Amino acid sequence: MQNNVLQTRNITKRYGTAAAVDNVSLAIRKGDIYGLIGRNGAGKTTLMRMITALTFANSGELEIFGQTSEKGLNESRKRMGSVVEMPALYPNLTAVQNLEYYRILRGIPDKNVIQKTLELVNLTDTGKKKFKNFSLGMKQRLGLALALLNSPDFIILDEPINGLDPMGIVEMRETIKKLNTENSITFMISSHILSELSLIATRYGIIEGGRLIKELTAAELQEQCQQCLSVKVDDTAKASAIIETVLQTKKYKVVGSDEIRIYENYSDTAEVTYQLNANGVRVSGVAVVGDNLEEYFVSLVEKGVKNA
Amino acid sequence: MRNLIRADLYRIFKGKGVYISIAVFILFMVTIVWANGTGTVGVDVYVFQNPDYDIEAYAHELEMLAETKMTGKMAPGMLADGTSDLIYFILPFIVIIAAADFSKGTAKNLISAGESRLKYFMSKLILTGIVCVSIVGIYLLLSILISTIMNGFGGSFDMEFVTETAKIYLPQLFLIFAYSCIGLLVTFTLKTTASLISIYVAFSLVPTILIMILQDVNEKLIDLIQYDLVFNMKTFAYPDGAFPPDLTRTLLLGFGCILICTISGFLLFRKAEIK
Repeated sequence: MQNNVLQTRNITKRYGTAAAVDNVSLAIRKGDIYGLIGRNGAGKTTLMRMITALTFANSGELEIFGQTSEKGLNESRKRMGSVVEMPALYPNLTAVQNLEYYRILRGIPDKNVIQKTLELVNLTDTGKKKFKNFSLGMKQRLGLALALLNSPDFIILDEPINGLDPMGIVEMRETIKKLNTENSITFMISSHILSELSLIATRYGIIEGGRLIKELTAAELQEQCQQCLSVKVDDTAKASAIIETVLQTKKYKVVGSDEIRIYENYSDTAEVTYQLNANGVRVSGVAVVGDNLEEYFVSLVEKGVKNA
Repeated sequence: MRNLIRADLYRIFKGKGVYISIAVFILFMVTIVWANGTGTVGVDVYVFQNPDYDIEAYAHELEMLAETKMTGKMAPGMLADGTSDLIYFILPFIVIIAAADFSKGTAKNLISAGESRLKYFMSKLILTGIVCVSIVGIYLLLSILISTIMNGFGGSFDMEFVTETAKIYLPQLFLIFAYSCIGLLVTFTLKTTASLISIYVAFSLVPTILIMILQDVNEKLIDLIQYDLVFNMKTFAYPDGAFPPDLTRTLLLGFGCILICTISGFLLFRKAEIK
């Protein structure tokens, strides 16, 4: 059974001598909400443009729903919906007229699909208002409606919260979550705001300078970004027993031969040190470690730049 | 591809652009028929290019024409010279059909949804062809209709009338379509409305002007005008003119233009970036 919705193998796109996307290999599994994070100009949009055939790779291989040939890829793209860069629709047509155009174009026989799709994105009350008069949030939502029109299995959204107000961001997030859980739609979403993506994404790819510098799951990210107390001790086994019995927590981890990381009840550093010392464990160092999301992202990007 | 064409037709008729273009076109038609459509502009070219032409006879002809009321039966022949102007009325339709997709960025919605670029290109080509047939057809019908209302039909609607009209208008229609293909080539290559409009309009004037200038350098270069699309359109308006129409040359010219524009347009678009 085909489990990967999308797979890229060493995909590269160059403009002149500069590589906008450099040897990127990633895989998106069915059911994922894959967050592609990177700074502006990191290569997120170029990667998405290659996946959606708006531009072509100089080298590497693209596989969508198991298809790699040009014809096969085009067929696979019919199971996809996408909004790459800003949503582009006909400015002089209303929301219904715009969707009707694409309904005819995609040969969808059910006319009710337009109303159903507009309901999904909360855009049923626009009446005769033309697309050109829509707010940015409404445009984003109509773009999402267009991506949803043919009941896709996989949706690509490029910076979908750009320009949205806080309410719009919440609505967009909830809609994506709902579509992912209820309609089993796989998503690839790009953003430069990790904290926003962290609320919905199940897996992450961090891109910098056109290179994919890190892939991790939501659990791994949470672990990386969780703050804890790092205690250097001479006897980790003995220290573990004290942490469980005296400090009464099981949320700790032994790292290497001389370090224990405590994830709970560590705010009173003096108490932790005292209890360990009092019970015969020698403490050689104590520090609160761990990044918040932004710090983690920045540190990864900086590492990526240094390694480039 | 049928869905692409159907969807485009839906979009075109939902917008105002098409109705404005049609209204302007009808106004143009009414004006030229009202002005009795003498077609003298076309005759001028041949008169001044042919030193053997009897200028007195020409003046007499003009006098006769001025006195003649254009009936419905005469209209297709008398207005045939203006057919070449229809290329300018086709331009807004090329903008609406093809260039708008690039200027508004909507082309990416189709391509990213797995639509074949070949089918997309061909659908625009077919729609442009439909527009050419419609515009020439409307031109012909309106000219007959308005002049019949004004001055009567002036004869019987027989097979000879149909054949004579077809002889004039079919080659012209073919050349108009060939010219429109240049517009499509520009659209799919440069992808901007401004470049389409400027190159499309320039291409109708520049070759003739250039040949006229070159003629001063070498008289024989005037023969190059026989390979100008607009000149060929005008030639068919006067089957007995100073340059009698050469159907083979016209067909080759038209086919060549359509083939070159279609093939190169598609090849350039096939791997082009879509913004």
